[in-house]
Amino acid sequence: MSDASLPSPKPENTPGRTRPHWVDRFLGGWEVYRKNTIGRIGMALLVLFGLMAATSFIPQWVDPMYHPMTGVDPHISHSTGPSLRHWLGTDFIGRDIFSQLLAGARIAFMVGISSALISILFGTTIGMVAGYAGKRTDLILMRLADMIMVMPTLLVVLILSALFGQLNIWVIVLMIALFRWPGVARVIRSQTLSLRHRPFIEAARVTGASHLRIIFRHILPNVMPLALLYMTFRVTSAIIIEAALAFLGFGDPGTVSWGMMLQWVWKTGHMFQAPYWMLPPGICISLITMAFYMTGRAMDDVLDPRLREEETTP
Amino acid sequence: MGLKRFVLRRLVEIAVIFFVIMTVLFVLFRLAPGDPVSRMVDPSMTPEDARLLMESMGLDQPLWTQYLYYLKNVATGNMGISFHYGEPVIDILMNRLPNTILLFTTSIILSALLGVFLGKIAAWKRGQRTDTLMTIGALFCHTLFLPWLALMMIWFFAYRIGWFPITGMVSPDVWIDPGAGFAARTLDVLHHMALPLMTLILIHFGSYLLVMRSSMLDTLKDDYIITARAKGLDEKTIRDHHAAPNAALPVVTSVGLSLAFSINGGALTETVFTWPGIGRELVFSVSHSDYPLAQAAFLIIAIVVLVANLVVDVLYAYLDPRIRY
Amino acid sequence: MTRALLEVDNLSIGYQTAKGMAMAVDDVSFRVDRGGSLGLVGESGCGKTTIGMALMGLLAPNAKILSGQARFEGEDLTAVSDERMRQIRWRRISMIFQAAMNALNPVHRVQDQISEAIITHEPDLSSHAVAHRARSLFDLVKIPESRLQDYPHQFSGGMRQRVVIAMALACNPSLIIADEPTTALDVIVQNQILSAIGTFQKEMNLGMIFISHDLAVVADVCTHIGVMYAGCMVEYGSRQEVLDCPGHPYTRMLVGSLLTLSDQPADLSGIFVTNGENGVTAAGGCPLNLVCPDATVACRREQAGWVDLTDTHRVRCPYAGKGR
Repeated sequence: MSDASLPSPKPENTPGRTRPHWVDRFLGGWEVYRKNTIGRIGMALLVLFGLMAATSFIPQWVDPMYHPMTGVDPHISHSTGPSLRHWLGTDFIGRDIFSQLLAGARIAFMVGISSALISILFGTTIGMVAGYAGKRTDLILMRLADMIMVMPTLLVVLILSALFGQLNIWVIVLMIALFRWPGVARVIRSQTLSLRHRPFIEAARVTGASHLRIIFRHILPNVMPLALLYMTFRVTSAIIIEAALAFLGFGDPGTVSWGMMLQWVWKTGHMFQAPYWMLPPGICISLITMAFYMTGRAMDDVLDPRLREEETTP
Repeated sequence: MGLKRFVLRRLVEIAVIFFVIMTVLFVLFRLAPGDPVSRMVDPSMTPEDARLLMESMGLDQPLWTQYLYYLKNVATGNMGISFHYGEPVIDILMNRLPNTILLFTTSIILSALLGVFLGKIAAWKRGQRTDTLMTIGALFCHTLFLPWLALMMIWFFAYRIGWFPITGMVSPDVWIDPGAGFAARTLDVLHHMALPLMTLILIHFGSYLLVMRSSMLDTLKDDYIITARAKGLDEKTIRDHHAAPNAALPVVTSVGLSLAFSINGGALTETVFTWPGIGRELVFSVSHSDYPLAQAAFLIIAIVVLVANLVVDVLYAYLDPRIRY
Repeated sequence: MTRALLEVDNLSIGYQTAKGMAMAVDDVSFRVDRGGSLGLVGESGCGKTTIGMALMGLLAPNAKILSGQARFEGEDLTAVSDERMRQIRWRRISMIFQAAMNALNPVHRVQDQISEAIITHEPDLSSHAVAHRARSLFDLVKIPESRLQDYPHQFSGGMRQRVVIAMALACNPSLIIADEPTTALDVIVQNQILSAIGTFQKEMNLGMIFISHDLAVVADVCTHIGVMYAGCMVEYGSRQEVLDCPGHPYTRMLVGSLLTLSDQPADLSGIFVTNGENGVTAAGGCPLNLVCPDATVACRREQAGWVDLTDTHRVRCPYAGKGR
């Protein structure tokens, strides 16, 4: 499904070479996605936040006092409202709130996407193995998944941080990922189960392909769209959990996340007097959650009919 | 299979899962960096008390024996002495448990009811303004960050317009007063419960609404809806008596699936509103390195979650005659 | 002359689709008398179910009755108000659905579902009387009373169908529309159901419209037969007439393909393959013109008018009566 008006990205400029199949599918999907209003809004919001994250390095260059963690305005030592110098005001020790907000965007993306990626990697692999191997392996893996799904992630990470002390942001990312993969695994497993008996899998087996090869060469490309879709939902839950952790005081003290900002507002008792401090981080968390959710929903609409298509080229 | 066998089987499953969790916790607490003994026994205890405690927990024994002691202790409820409160952990937590159950159960039931009620209407008026408003509203509420919403609620309702108290579950003066009757005390608790309850409901009703709505839309395609219409029933009856009961079943499942999420929210709510429940105790104990309390709190929460799952499963089996009979 | 229970004149129904109005029923006329039963036979998509739904006012929101009348006991069903339709439903006209489908609500006991129908239309009855009637209905369809408290999934297919029949009779209607009531059942059960339906019909002097794709089933139970194809009625007459002297090539094919246990081989000479198209084709002309072996240029050009073979038997084909 190619659109003649779009430039075709040829890997090398050799005239005989055509675009890989997946590129066509991607571009085709993009066409459908573009028309979806919800998707557009979601994507617009994500771009906005992306910009925020990307520009989060700028304030410190302008003036060291704008550094989100360590930058303190020499003239201000308490929380002040929005002004020309500090667009959103300052926090309780005189740090600029706006640059904190930008840094928070960076952390949100980082935490969300890396945690989601790990979750997906884990969940997809386990889901595929469970669906493909069946019987005992499937049973054990799914029981494991059930047990993990029952556990409230936030509280588990809390307990772990009790044992291991203050946690580094990457450890938090990993732990969140370790508890969020079951959801993906279940979905991928059912998809794999339905694919397992399709003729092209049988054909591959007959030609002597090893199980590993079958899983990664044949099943993976077909479950990939579903995995990517669920990644968006994983991102939202990762961001929220990290924010909740930071809010409770268990985040990485070296990072400035939106949850951390809310913790400062709360713990320093500025809740009632400093709406300019309390509102922005909370709004951002909600908006980015909504943005990812909308993007996911739009992707869902795009991918739905395409889930039926099969990638059968070897 | 009959309901009894179903419940029995689930109980066994729960026991197994709980056992696994207990064991994992045991391993973690013993093997984590640092001195495991200092995690069980408050360094500031007198040596004699410390010795007694260590013996009861078998801390001077090899690991395997310790494990057996551990199992025995958990079964008998002896989970150590809290560093912070200086009292047996089990007493503290049993005191907190009813508060959590009260808030948690009420919030889930009310959110589910609200979600089902609104979702039913949204699906019935599909595509119209009511539907769009409700769906957007549900989505909006669902993506709110709970601690932030909690802070906003406190700021607005308690601080700005003073309708509700800012923290806690009870007003000490009401409860200390010997003349205050049951009604006055209940009212007081409800008064304090209002804000955390509203916060939880706002966060959770959205997902139930969306599930109910899509479930209704599916149900409306079923044939017995045509039969109902052919029987000459009016629209309201068809919607409420025929479609909704069938559509509500997936909502029950959805409640079960989101229990972990709900417990997370419960702990956060308790913390922000200083509601004396187990979730708050867990957060508190972790931040104060009160290991015995933290471990026990986590175990009890695990039990609560597992039992809640069971309750939801049983409820579903009860509501769907195809399973019950 | 007794006034007919139901008289349908020139009924046309269309569906509003994205591509325009799609005709589902094109100029259909028939009548049903008290105690009589009309079998509407045709392939899927020929519009027979649409007619049934239209009579009950159960058409989909995008369907429209374009023209025609359906006079039932004096009232024109195409023109009644929604409220009046609701009153007529079940009380005067009821439906027997294909019970292999989810025609019964899975979460309610069958007694409640039957009682509901009764209470809706006769609210003054005491609960005692309602329960009594439910019991006697079950007696009628020969289901043990103890099953009244059961849920639909606890019944076998055949018994469920009988429950559906009992429910249809609950308010003593004058007309019953049976939409493929035996389609998903095995032959033995099918027979039972058919004979049950036949018995009630005679005992209660009900009018019936029996919709089916199976001519054999219809031939068993009905006094009149209407053959439909692509939204048009192509032949209409009494059972004897249609079966013994089918006038339309399509009918002839249907009749010929009825397998009988006689020593004569079945007459398969007239069989032709229809193109399985749903609904009326847009092009004018007889809808069968593309597949009928006797089609002429005239057939392609315009839809034939009705040819009366007898007072009661008419065929919509210029070659009716001629040919084989």
